[in-house]
Amino acid sequence: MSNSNTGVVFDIQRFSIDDGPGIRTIVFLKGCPLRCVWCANPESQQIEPEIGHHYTACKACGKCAANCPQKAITMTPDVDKKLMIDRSKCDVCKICVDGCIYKALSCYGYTATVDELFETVAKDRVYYNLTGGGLTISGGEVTMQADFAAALLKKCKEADINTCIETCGFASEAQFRKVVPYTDIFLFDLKSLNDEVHKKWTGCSNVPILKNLDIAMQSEQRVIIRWPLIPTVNDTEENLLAMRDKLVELNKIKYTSIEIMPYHNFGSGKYLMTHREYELKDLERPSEELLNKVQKLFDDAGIDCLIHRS
Amino acid sequence: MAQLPAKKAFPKKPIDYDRIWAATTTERLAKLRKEWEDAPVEIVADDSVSFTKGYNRHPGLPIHYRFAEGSAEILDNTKLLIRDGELIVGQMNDKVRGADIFTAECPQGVLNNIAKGAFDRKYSETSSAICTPETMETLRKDAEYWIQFAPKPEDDAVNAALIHELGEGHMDLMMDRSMVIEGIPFRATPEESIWGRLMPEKIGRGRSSYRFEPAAIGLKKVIQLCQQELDRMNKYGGYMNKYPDSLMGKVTPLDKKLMLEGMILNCEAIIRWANRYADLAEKMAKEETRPERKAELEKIASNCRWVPENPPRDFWEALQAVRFMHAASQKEKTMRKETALNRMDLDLYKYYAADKEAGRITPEFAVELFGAFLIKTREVESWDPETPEMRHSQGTLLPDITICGMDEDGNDCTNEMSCIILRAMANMKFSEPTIYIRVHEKMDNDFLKFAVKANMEHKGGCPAFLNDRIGTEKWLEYGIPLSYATDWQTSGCLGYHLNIGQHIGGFKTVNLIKCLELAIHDGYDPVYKKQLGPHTGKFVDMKSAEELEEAYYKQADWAAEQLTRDYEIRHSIEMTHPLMSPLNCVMYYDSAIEYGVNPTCGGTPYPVLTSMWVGERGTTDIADALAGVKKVVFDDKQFTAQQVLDALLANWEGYEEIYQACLHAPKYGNDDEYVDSIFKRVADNTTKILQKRPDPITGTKPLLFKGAASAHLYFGRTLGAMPGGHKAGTPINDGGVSAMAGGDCCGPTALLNSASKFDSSVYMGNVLNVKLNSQVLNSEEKLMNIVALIRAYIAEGGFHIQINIHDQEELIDARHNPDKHRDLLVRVGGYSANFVDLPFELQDEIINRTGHTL
Repeated sequence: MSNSNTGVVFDIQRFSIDDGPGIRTIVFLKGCPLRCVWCANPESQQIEPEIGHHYTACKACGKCAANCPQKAITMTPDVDKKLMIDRSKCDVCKICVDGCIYKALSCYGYTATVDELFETVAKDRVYYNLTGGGLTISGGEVTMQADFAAALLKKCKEADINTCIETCGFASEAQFRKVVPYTDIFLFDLKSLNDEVHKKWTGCSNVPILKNLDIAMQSEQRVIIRWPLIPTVNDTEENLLAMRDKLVELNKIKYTSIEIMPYHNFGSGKYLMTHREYELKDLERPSEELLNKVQKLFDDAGIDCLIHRS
Repeated sequence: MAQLPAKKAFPKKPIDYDRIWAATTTERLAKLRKEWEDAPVEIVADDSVSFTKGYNRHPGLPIHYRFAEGSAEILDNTKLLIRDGELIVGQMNDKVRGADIFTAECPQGVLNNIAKGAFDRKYSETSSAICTPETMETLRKDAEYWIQFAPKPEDDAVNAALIHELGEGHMDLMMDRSMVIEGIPFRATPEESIWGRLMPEKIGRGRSSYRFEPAAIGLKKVIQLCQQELDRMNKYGGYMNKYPDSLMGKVTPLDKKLMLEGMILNCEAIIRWANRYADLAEKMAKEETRPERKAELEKIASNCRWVPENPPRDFWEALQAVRFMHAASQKEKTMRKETALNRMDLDLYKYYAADKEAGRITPEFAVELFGAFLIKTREVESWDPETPEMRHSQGTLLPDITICGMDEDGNDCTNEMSCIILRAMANMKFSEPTIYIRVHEKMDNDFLKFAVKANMEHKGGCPAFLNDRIGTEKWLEYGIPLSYATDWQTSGCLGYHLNIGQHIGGFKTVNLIKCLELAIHDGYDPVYKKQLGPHTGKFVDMKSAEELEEAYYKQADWAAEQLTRDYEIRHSIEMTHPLMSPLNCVMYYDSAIEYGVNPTCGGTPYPVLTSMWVGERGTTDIADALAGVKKVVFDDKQFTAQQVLDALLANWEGYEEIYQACLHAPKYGNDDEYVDSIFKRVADNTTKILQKRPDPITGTKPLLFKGAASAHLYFGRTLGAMPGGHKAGTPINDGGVSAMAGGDCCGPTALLNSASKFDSSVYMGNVLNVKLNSQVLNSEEKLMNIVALIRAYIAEGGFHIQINIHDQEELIDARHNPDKHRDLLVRVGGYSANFVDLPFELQDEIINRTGHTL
């Protein structure tokens, strides 16, 4: 499904000013090895396309259920949910999507070629030039489609467009090394430095992640650490200090700043849209007090720290 | 005397951005603003009565002289008011928010309003007026006097000529009817009077505008210059060798002498008015016990004693002089008190710089003074008894301020005064005046960042950003020399004019989307229910969207012909009365003393300054509609032309599937070639059609603009359902090159790229509204991205961009009408979603938080 020419994308967002410097276009690739419980883009987790249901636009007319050849859709009396899709039956034929006059059904994930994506990315070149912006590949996880990502990054670099990837770092060394030569900036996610915590909440070990971070640190390119700050998961004193120490250590190798991504629940709607269970329903956002404390912690250590307040 | 030289940049000095930014609003201004906010609108009859008296002092003399006597009488009887804490004085009347009614302009309208109780009623939740029984009675008496002069439609020259030349059916194209052309159906209706007869367009050729130039030399000097010319004429005869052909035989020596005498009358009246303020301030100063206020009142008295009679000696005096001249122009303007304030940073900088050099002023006080001035511009209410809700929101007076720009030598005109104006605007947070920044490549990023910050604090889409280069180059094409071409400023609804001559008279706007509707229905208007345009073929027989597009061109060409013929007739008759408003001649004394008329009426060596303006609206709507037809009927063959036609005629009722298919067809504003290529082609071809017919009098190409700020409301009102997903009677796209509400889903860069495809270089004005979520702009660094948006759009040839920060109201609207707000993004790093896709509880939460993100 993904090779050096074709990949699976779930969204493109132009005029992004939060993921790397300047005005950027973000290409969100589909598929991620981690299963973070706080994930804000759950529709990006599996690489295969899936049907999303915009229940706020849905008028519960029942046309999709009637038309579905797999009989995967059933209408429910639940006024919020309106319908259910049996994902085991659905083969993503998209007949329901094409037939919905309210555009309440959509397909998350489509295949696109490097050239097609490049054409879209290049449209905003004038804004990149004025702001130091460019392309950011996010996801999902970019290294799940390393050949494809590398080809797109390369094409942009050749066209003098700045490139950035947002990666969780979980990949084999070989896969990770494919994207390194064509990446100007790494937005490198670190969830937790404690492997137990990492395994518990993301389903994966952080060992390969830290190894790939070393590779990024040894490169010439800029590395920005991104840390999702999730209350009750990784906001303990121990976690905070470990993260600070890690940043101090990294800065001995080269300048490395940190961006804090405080937990938010904006993704919760997408759990409903893709009929997933949202486990963190009752989790509060980090307090302003905690954010200020984190800011001070890094400031005092002489580390550049930016908090992305939502 | 020759025309004054164009404005130029002052020698560049560093601007202290941080210090000016820190000059936030003061307690004094907050109090004055609050008083204004709380004050009721009160109807005032003084001007009406004074004008009647002055105008009738010399019956039998030419009306322009009598007009001067009328407006001088108005100023002599204007009641005074100095509010506690005021620094700039010069009230329109003795009310904080008084609405001067001018009965002579439309006595029947006034009588109708009295009968309906419309003067004393609530206009909306926030707008109402007070009219005492005495005032009502005064207005009634005055109106009953003027009604005897009201012309009957059947013996009005323009009506007779229009009907004779174009037939009765021509009137079906006008306002309140099918509205193919924006215009009043009959020039003179029983609602109107002698002024309506002479100035059919209401805003009026030759009606007074404002310029700083006479105040800069002092009105005493203007009087001298007028007197010299009168003496010369008396001694050597009235012959002038520099007469433009168009005025030959129209302005006689007697006309000119009376114009010069009228100018003197007006100057003297303004000086007397200022001196009455000086007397009042002196008296108040004597009685004042607080030493600080006493000193302020003494300074106010000395200011008013000196300006505008004499050239200002400091910044405070200069600003006071602007106030008197601008207010005098508004006082003379009867009902619609629309008057631009022009390039105030260039007008005022030299006074400020000298004060600063001498240590007489701080930037903080300059910001406060300017804020005090801005309040005065709000203390005027406009009342149009004929069309109160039709066209204008009450109180929209467009006192536009234009700043920055590049001069003929390529120097950046931006100075510290530009920043002071922006800071004061952000402090006061008034909906008007709008500040327009002429942006060019030599402008500092720091200044643009300052402007974007001011925009975010103001939140009302102000300041707006204009393309300096395009604004100048357009005039060069019309033969205006470079120096004068660089000296332009905004005025009215999204138009702009040169400082050597304002010409907002004689404009007509054509409703292009209506022309497409006619094309869909073979020339028949399904809303007005009449065959209006030519037969251009049945939609159901058409084989492609291009065929429909061709039919549209034929309808547009027909409409353009109607518009030109209409203009030609109205203008022919207006030309027999080229002399109006001696006060406007004071403003343009540099050319008016020579020609005897102001530039707008032909007193200029550049004929284009009197050429017609053709406004148009609807090309983006046409692109959406044609793309809808192309996609749904011809490319996807989802529905037949007949089915779509039935759906349109039923205003989509019972045709939900067709409606949704059309609504979700590609829309302009997403950088999508499918529809943008249609837009580009339609816009270019329409331009050619509208410029095909030269101005009937001057022979130049008509000046095109996407004007009339509220046209999207009333053009939409007479429009049926359209295949872009438009519902009958709802507004069309705003601004000229803006996208359908909710139709642009790919962010601002995509919208800007779509809009850049429009060739702004042939247009006098068009507007792009960009909406941004306040969340997006939560750090200083990110402001530079907005600066980049502005710079990029202007570098790509866009003309006008306005940044609107989403407010809570918009989010609330999106919560209830998700279809209109598919473009609204929720932004957090690494995350992608539209606001309307969020669960309702979350939407509510964001709505509640947005109030304080900025």
